[in-house]
Order: sequence, then structure tokens, then C-alpha cells
Amino acid sequence: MKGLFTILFILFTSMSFGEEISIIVNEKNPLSNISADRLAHYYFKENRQWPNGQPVRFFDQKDESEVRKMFLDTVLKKTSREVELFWIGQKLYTGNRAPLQLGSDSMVASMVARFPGAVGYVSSTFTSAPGVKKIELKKD
Amino acid sequence: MIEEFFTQTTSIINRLKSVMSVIAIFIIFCAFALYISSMSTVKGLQELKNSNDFISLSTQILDAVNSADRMTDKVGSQRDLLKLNFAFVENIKIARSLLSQSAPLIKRHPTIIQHLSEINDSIDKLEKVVQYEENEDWKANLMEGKQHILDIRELISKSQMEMKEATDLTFSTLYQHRFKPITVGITISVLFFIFVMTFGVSLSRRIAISISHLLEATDKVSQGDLNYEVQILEHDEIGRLTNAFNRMVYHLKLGQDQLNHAVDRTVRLQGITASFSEALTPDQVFDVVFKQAFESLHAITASIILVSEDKNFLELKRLGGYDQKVFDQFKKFPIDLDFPSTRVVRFGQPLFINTEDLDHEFPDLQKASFQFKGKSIACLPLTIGSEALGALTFGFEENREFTREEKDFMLALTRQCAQAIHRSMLYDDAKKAIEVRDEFLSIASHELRTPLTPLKLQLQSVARQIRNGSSANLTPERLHKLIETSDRQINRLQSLIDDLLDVSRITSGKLVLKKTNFHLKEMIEEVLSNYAQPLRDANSSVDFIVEEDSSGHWDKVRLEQVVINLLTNALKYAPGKVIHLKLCRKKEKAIIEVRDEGPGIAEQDFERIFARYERVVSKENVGGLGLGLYISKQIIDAHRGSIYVQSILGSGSSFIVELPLEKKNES
Repeated sequence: MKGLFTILFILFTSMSFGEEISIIVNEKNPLSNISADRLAHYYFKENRQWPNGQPVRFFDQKDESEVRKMFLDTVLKKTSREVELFWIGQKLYTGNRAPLQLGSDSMVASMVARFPGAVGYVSSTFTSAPGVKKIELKKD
Repeated sequence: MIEEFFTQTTSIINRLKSVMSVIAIFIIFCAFALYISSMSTVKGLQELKNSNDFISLSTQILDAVNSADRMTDKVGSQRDLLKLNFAFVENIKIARSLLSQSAPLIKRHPTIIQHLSEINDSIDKLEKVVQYEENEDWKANLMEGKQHILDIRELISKSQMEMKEATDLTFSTLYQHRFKPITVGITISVLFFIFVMTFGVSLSRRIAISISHLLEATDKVSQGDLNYEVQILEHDEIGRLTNAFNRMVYHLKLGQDQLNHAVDRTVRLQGITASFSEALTPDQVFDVVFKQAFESLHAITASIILVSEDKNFLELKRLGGYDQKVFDQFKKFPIDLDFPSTRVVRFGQPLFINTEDLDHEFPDLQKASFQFKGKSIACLPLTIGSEALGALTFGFEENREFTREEKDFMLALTRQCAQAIHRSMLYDDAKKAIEVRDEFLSIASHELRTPLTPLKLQLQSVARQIRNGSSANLTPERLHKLIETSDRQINRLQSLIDDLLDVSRITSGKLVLKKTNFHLKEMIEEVLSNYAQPLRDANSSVDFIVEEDSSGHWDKVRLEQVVINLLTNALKYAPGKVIHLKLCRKKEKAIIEVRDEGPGIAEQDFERIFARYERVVSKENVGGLGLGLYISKQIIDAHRGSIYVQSILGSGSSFIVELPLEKKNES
């Protein structure tokens, strides 16, 4: 019963807040949209280059932030723990490290502005900042 | 010329040397192979060490970067950042220096090199970020720094992993090839063994074959096969040995040939000796010489020339290969002429000469217009002791040098021939002497018998008359006559026996002269008075003329004997004719000449008649022993005088006695 309530609660909050994420890239990036699948590949460093050859730099957000939860749900479709275990494994076997986790949308935006191949996610309420542009997240 | 093949005096040693050098090269090669094979191991180990070093260095870089990262976490405000800046920069410096240290270790790993350069870029950017002062957005800077640190860590991890993979690969390769040096070593040993065996066996086999050939050859040679020649396989010491062996066998063969030749020659000489020993007369000897000259020596001309009895001439006894005309021309020629034969006879040395050289060597030949046949001449002296008997001359068709053997053979032939001729002459003499002796014996017995027969008859008749009693017939006159006759016969016998005794005395050298001083005229007159009876009996007379008397120291009795002998001879050959006896003197010689008017004596008999048992005419015509002149000559010779005859056939002959006038005391 308690589990059911929790699920219901979560569903409710997500529904009730109705918060969504926006994908931002450096303004020099010619891309205008990106599929969730491709984004996940970028996140897990399975593909480290943009189609134009720029190295991909993904900026993550802190575990506890709502935006990250959304991102995990909608894009990666993994739990936070799974992602953590994945990166431990990656660290051991490929040397890949988890993307840098930033504290706020504005920090993400400023970092994206600094790195040409950067990509990050922010809450959809986040208004645009200089040097970045939002691109559309195509859903399957 | 054979020696040229063996200029390489120590080829076996040289071959061993080359084998040794090949082995040395082989060993060097082996060492090199071993070195190469272990080289890869060494390189692998080096690489392992390098990667190990790299990993430890990169771990240190990681430490430095991590400590820098941890510092960023502690930053809460911009002030903190400035405070920590120094330590942060120090860490970055350490990382950079470590990075530069690790650069040489990863030369063989292009991806790691790329990573390192990227790391370097990131560190550059990081430094820039840190130096960024007075900036409101220091948090973003910090984040950017963290991002760079993240990149560095990632790259280092990746590099380490790649390095680890490479190390694993190296190690597994090393492990896989851990037996490689041993394998190489074993392979090389086997190859070396095979090489040494093959080379050694082939070398020793060649030597062994050569030696076995030699052994085979020694067997054959010991069995007498001197024509066997060992094949020379190699021009090395064994080859030299083989060659020396072949040469030895060759010389052995030559020696044997010479020996055979010598034996042949000896056999031939023995044959010749046998032939000569069978040849008793000079003609038979000449036959043997000619046979040998034409058959054994292959001469085309041959001649035998002997010295005449008076030693002043050479007489051509036999000539082969020339016309009869030549024989007649040179039948007898003076020894003074300079011909090859005369020269050889005079000097006793053989002469071997080419006919071309003859003319200027012997001008006398040219004068005699004689041309030798053939191209070369061998002229050999026939000598017995130091006495020259004559010369043999052989002419040969070809112009050539005579070998020592040929010369020896010819000389041997000549020696044999000389002995045979000498022998045959002695044989002739002996035969003649025996004939003369036999004849003498018959004459002597007849002569001795002649006076005995009338003596016996007279004695028998006296004896018969005495027996018959008719001794009255034996008147003193008759008896006187009888005795006188008998006495004459006895005298004759005595004189015959005296002659014989004289001859034996002379022959045995026992003729002793009893010399006294006397006048020849007296002596001859005594003889004539004693000899009156025989002269009367022969109805002859002596016409004695004394031109000049001589006196000397002589044996009177013996000289009387000589005169009686000469008178007896004159009476014997010219009975009833006047005998002219003349006494004269010429220089220091007393001369007695007895001349008869008999038939005379031929010139060729002048010498002969003074020999023993000889007489002027044949024995049937005139009696006597034929000793008178011989004894006379011996007596005169003993007086160092001379007796000779002068005669013309049909006009009588004169015997002349020359006596040296020597005066001596009775003593």
C-alpha cells in the first residue's frame, strides 16, 4: 500500500509540477535538435564527438536536483544508482569518468557557453543565457 | 714440371686453416644469431620496464591532479581560491614535469603520445583558468578547471590502460618466445655438427682414398708391376707423396731396364767371348768381329787393320762395306800417314768422330782421296798390354753421339778381339813350331841314320870276313881305308850331335864364349887346311883373299865353326864350284865374306834362313839339319856382330859376317 502511495505521489508531483527539461548547447553548435537516444550516448561517453568533429563535453547536474531526475527519467531512462554504478564500472574498465556535476542551471549555461562542444540540460523554465542555445529534444 | 702442380706446399694445413676459419665464422654467426634472438627479449624487458615507469609516473601525475581537484572542492569563496592558488599551481607544475619525464617512455605508442599532448593542452587551459583573476564568475572558472582536470584524469586513465594492454602483449610475447634462445642454440649446434661431420668425413675420405691407392700401388710394385702409376687425386702432401712414389717407381723401372740392358750386354759379350774362343785362326776371329759389327752394332762398314811384322806398316786384313778397289788401295800403308786408324794405333786411344770433321782433322785422308761411308766413325785400338796389334773401324749410317754403353760395348768387343787375334797368332806360331819340330825330327832321324848305315855295313862285312876265316882279305891298306871311312861317318855323326847340343845350349841360354886374342887370317887358314879333304871330295876350291887382316878378342873355336858352316853350305849348294872367301875391314868391323856360285836365294828368304830348322831349299834336295846358319847367327850375335846374306837368284849368294873389333886382355 505504502509503495503504491509512493508511486502515486511521485506521479502526482511530476504531473503536478509538470516540470520539463531543455537541452542547451554552445551557440556555435550548428545542431538544432537531438534525439534522446543520441543524447544518452553522449552522456555515457559512448560517442564523444559531434557530427562536425567537436569533442563532446556533457555537463550534468547534482543528484538531488529535480532537473536531473527528469533527465534520468526521460532521456537516460535509468535510476541515479544505476548511473552511478555504470560510471564506477567505466572508471575501472575504460577510464571514462562521469560528467562534471554542476550546482545550478545558470552554472550549466555558463559552462556550456565556455566550451564549444558542450551540451547540458536545464529546466525548461530556465531562460536563455548568452553563448548558449536551446535545441529540441526529439522524443521517440 | 710436375713440381709446378705442388706449389701449395702445405695444402692440408691450409685446408685445415680454412676449415678453422669457416668454423670461426660459423661461431661468430651463431653468437650473432643468439644475440639477435635474445635481443628481442631484452627489448621486451626494456619495454616492460618503460611501461612500468610510465605507469608509476602517470600515477603520480594522477595524484597531483587529484590533489588539485580536491583543493577545488574545498573552495567556497573567491578568497579561498586565491589562497589555494599557489598550491594548485605547484601541483600543476609537478604534473607537467612528470609529463615531460614520461614523454620518452611512450615513443612506441602513438595513441598515448596523442593523449599526452591533449593532457598538455588541458593543463595549459587549466593554468589559464587559474590565473584568471578579478572575475566575478570565479565559480564558473573553477568548474571549467574541474572539467579540465576531469579530462586529464580521463586521458591518464586511458593512457594507463593502453599501456597496460601493450605491456600484457609484450609480456605474452616474451612468454611465448621464452624458449627461443635455447631453440636457436640447439639448431645451431645441430647445424654445426652436421657441417663438421660432412666436411671432416669428406676431407678424411679423400686422404684415405689417396692412401689406399698408394697402398694398392705398393702391393702391385712389390709384385713386380713397375708400369703401375698411381692416380694423383689432390695436389696436396699426399699428392706429393704419390708423385714421389710414381717417380721412384719410374726410376726403379729405369734402373731395372738398365740392369736388363746390362745383362743383355753381358750375355752378348759372353756370346762374343764364346765365339772368339772357338775362333782359332785370325780369319775366324775376323768373321766373329764382322758378324758383331753388322748385327749387334748395326754398323754399315767395318775394317780390321793389323800392324805388320816390322811395325812400319798397317795391313788391311778385312774390309766390309767397301769395294774391292778400296781394299786393294789400302792393303798396306805406312804407319806414318795420319789416318784415323794409324792415329789410334799410335796413341792407343779410341776415336769417335763425325765424317764431316774427318777432312780437316785428317788432311792425309783427303790426299789419299778416300771418303768414309756413313755419318760417324768409331775407330778402336787393338792392344795387348801396351803392344798395339792394330785397329778396328766401324762406320755408322746416322750422325750421332755414342752413349757410354755403346762405347763400352765396342771397347769390350775390341778387347776381346785383340785377345782373340793375339791368341790366334800364338796358335799359328805354336802350330808352325810344332810342324817345324816334326819336320826337324824326321830330318834329324834321317840325317843321323845316314852315316850309321854305311858304318854298320862296313862293320858287318869285316865281321863276316872274320867269321868266314877270310881275314886274309883284310889287308892293312884296306883296313886303313875302312877305318878312315868309319871315322868320317863317326865325325859326321859327332858334328850332327854337336850341332844339336849347340842348339839346345843356345835355346837354354847356356852358350858361353871362351874369348882369346887371335888373328882372323890365321884362324881361316887353319880351317881351310883342316877342310881340304871335304873340298877335295866335293871337287871344289876356295879362293881366299885377304884384303886386310884383323885381330880381336873372340871365341876362336866358335868362329871356326861359323866359317866351317858357311863353307859347308857353299859346298852343299854349289858343289864343284869355286868358293870365294874374303877377309877385309870396314871402319871398326872385321868382315868375312863367303861367296858361292850356287843358285842364289830369293829376297823374301833372307830372314828366314837364319831361323832354326830352316833351309834355303826344300828338304828333299839337300841334306842337313838346317841348323848351321841358325847356330852361326847365334854365335855372331853373341859376339855383338851381325851376319846377313846378299844374293841374286841364279847368280850365287854371299854371306857376310861383321865382327866388332874389340881388344881385351886375356883376363
